[in-house]
Amino acid sequence: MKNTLKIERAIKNITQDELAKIIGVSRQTINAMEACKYVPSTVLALKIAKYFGKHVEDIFTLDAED
Amino acid sequence: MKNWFLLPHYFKKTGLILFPIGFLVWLSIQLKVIIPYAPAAIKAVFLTGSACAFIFGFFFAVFSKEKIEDEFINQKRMETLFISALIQVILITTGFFAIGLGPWLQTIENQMLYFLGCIFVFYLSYIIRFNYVLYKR
Repeated sequence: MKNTLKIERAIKNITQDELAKIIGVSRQTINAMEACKYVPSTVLALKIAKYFGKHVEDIFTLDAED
Repeated sequence: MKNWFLLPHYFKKTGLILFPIGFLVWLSIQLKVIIPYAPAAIKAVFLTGSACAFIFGFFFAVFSKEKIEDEFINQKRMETLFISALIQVILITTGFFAIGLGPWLQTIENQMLYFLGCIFVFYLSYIIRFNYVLYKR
């Protein structure tokens, strides 16, 4: 699964650490998601989408392997 | 997921300090580097104390929470436990084959030492792999 988390974060001009604190997860989790090494749960994806004011599918999209 | 079996985060640092110190003190006494001429009772006290520090240090380092426990950390914890268990099974199986086939593990002392080592390899591989995965850049 691909995501535009890094872009969204750049638009909002916040660091991984700041985003992690806002969402209530560890910085490693944000880092792993941005590197596409971790697929978040529905709850976490919804939290992220809510924070950026977008729909989940605007941030997270399926890729060819999924 | 509720990690009711995990200790608070501050136990991790305590464990990571305690287990190498415990091991070094225990090894130093065994190799007669420190207190070589002390009475047997004093030696026994220090040996027991250092062994306890070593074992509890390991236990604290493995079974303590991260600062923020979330789903990613939980997933990595599960993965690492599985890998460590797999390493331990391979070592134990190898040990049984070694007892049956080779001359290496014929004495009961060597066998005990080997299987005790298997337990500690489980903890050690867990600590190394889990922290590597979390803190690598």
